[in-house]
Amino acid sequence: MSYLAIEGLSKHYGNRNILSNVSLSIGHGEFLSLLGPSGCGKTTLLRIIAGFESPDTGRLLLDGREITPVSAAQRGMGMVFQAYSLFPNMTALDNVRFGLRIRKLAAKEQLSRARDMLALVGLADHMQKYPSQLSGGQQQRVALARALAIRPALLLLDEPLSALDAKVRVQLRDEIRNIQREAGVATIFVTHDQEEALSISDRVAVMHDGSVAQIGSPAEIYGTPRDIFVARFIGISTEFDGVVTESNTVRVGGVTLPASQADGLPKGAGVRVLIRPENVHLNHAGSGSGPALAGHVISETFFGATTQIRIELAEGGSLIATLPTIEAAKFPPATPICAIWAPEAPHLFLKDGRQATSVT
Amino acid sequence: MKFGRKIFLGLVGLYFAIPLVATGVFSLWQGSNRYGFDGYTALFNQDELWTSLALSFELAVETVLASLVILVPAIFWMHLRLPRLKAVFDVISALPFVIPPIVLVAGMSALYTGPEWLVSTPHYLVIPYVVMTLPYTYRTLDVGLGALDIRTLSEAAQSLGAGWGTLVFRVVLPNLTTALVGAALLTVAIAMGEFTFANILLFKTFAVFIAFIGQSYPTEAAALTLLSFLITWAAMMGVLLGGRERAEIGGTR
Amino acid sequence: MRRWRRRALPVIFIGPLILFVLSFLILPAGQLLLSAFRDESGNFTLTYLEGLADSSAAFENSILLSGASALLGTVVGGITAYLVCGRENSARSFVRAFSAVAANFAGVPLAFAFVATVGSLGMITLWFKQAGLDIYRLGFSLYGLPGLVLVYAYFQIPLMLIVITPAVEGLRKEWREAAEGLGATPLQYWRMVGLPILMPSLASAFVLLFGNAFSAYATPYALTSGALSLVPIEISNVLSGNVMLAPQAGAALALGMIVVMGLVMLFHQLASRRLKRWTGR
Ligand SMILES: Nc1ncnc2c1ncn2[C@@H]1O[C@H](COP(=O)(O)OP(=O)(O)OP(=O)(O)O)[C@@H](O)[C@H]1O
Ligand SMILES: [Mg+2]
Repeated sequence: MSYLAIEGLSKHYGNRNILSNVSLSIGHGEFLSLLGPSGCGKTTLLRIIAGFESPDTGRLLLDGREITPVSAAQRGMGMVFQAYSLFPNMTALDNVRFGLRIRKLAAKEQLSRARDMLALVGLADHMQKYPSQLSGGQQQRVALARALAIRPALLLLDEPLSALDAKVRVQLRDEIRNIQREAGVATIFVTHDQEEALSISDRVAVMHDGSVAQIGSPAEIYGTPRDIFVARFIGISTEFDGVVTESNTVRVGGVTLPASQADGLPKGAGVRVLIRPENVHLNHAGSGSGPALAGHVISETFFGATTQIRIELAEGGSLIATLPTIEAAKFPPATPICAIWAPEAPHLFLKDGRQATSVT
Repeated sequence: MKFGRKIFLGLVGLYFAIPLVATGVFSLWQGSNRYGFDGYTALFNQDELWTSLALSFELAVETVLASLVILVPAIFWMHLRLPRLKAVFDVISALPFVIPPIVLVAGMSALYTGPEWLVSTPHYLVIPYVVMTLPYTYRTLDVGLGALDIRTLSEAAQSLGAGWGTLVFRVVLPNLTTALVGAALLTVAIAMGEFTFANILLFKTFAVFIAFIGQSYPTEAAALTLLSFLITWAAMMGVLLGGRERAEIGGTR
Repeated sequence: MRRWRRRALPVIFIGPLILFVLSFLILPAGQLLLSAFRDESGNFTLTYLEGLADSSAAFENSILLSGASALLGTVVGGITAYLVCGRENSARSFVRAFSAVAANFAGVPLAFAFVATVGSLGMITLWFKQAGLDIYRLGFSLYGLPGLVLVYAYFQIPLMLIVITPAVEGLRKEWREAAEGLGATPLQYWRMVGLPILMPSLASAFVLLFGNAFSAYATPYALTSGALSLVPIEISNVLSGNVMLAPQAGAALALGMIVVMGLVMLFHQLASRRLKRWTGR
């Protein structure tokens, strides 16, 4: 039941491919984030959806109807830009009314809808102010209200929060999510902030070099990254070079450790092993049984409920572990430790970056 | 739309190119179908061309010097000690726009009829020229000195035990070179082409000479016009290359 | 010693400028004011100011010429600025450089360039004549008001380009796209967003161009040899004794000119204040 379907979209500028064969779909009322590093083509994709750019190949279907040749003005999408998109010669109210005036709604209807929208974004008291008299966060709220006022087919947000300071950012992103739910409008939200994407989206599409590396729920993206790019880009992890030994173990340095993803890989295959810090378990040196990575604590970073511990390994290299702060107190700096993990914890990637299980 | 843009820009381009080209052709015309450089030879053989050109250049240089002597200390002091004075100076620098040359020359000739040694030499023109170029010189210097942050500089210099002379000659002036050159070039361009004062006060400067030539020798006048276009071009290139984003407008209309 | 220095230093630094401006800008203007209201024997009179009514033609011509050339400059220069800005860099810097030159290439040489082009013996005029088209028979004259407008445009358009380019460049791409995304046609965008935003800049550029043309003297003098009645020309005629008018009449004319230019400056200020409200600076 996809609402917007993007099929095989490609775009190049000069001789550079910006988007190659992108396919995506969004359901009714869904909140999808486009996440990726700077320059990977997020804005370009969004602008093609909005109709500001046209793709070289591929097509867009909205509710089953092809909209590729439809002009931006006719698509009826609500776009919120990074910043400075409010018309400086109009008050907040007139900005929100703009789309309704274009649609030639009755003046009364225009006003009441614009007022409602401004109230919805919490700006009922600032309707008569000009953009220059509003703070950055307020300006973006007005922009959101303006985009929603036309009851858009799709809400498109291009890093709407990136010009704001951290606190306003968190507050506004939750508000955007609530308003979006209330309005029930399918939304594409572009960001390069993973926390933002993971925290408010129904699904996240991670983009890399002009194509979609993985699309899925935030939990899927974080828990089962499909390639090494996604695994590295989302969250933090420690990386090792490893060699598959048995059907479910890898040798890292001189130690053989459990890894269920090694299942099905040929013996002796070289892999990259990625382990998330919260999946690392620490024991005091000598106290555990079985194979483990030996080392000692070199520093700790306090994050409140959790503490991050940096460990120097005996065979060289370092490892990061995140523990509940109470646990971490047992391992002050210089403590010799040994580190282990559960068999399902490490992610194994082949030399070409593909995930190990995707081969079998 | 794209086509309309090309046509519009093409027409504008033609409007600006045609007078220059036509003047060029005209300057080479020697009657009926003959073309050649006679006009230029005749022109360059006129002693008055060289004397008027020299006079205008001399006046331009004097104007530059006088402007700098009058303005640099005042603007320097304003930035250093009296930032409040900026409002006053801004108004002063707008006055020459409200009191255009033709009005100023009327006022000056009504007020000053002497002393003879001053008003009867062409160097008298330097005074109105300084007034005319004041807005441009002021703005250039104001921006230049403002960017220097004189106050901090002077405090730093004094804390290092440097005296006033050192501050002005070793710190401020070297850092101000770009602004000074820009202001000077603009002043030269304006003074070289100035016509109103010279014409009414009856001094034969370059611009007055062009007007005089034009009344009797059209070919030479055309050649001279091109020459003066080149001078303007050279001066403006200097101003633009000197780092000014915008060349100001102050020429004689 | 110290106190002496505290008093003397400002005088040394700022004194010359103040003295200079007083003697050669304020006092001459004041002198005009005084003489415009004083008759031969030094008594107060309004005769000369009332006499301005006789010169109403000069004011009319001047205002007409300045208005028309400023309008032409604003429209053509504004559109050119819009079309040129956002293009390749080389084209832009050429236009920028050329406008700097053309805006300063005025006065006598400019007049001659046009005389050589479309004067009664100009190149274009002759070419047209050879083609069987006598433009002077058709009513065109370089030496009348329409001709002057044509000549003035040569410095008005580039001046407009220079003053309006920053404002045109300040029109954000986001505004156009936001309007488009909300369903506006390009025309609606210009009517409701683009032009209103530019309006203060356009207005202040227009009055600047108006003042620029109003105070022009060298160009019309060289073209018409003082025959066409314009305010600056009339003042110079009085000064050089070409007409049988008392110097006080010239002073009155000059006073009228100061008033017009003062108004121009005032409008200019008002427009830029409006602009400040939007930009919030
Ligand atoms: N009009 C254009 N002409 C040429 N190249 C362009 C154009 N627009 C974008 N690009 C290039 O396309 C690539 C992708 O740009 P895009 O703006 O889509 O990146 P992005 O993912 O939005 O990055 P960011 O997070 O920095 O906004 C960039 O390398 C950019 O240089
Ligand atoms: Mg972007």
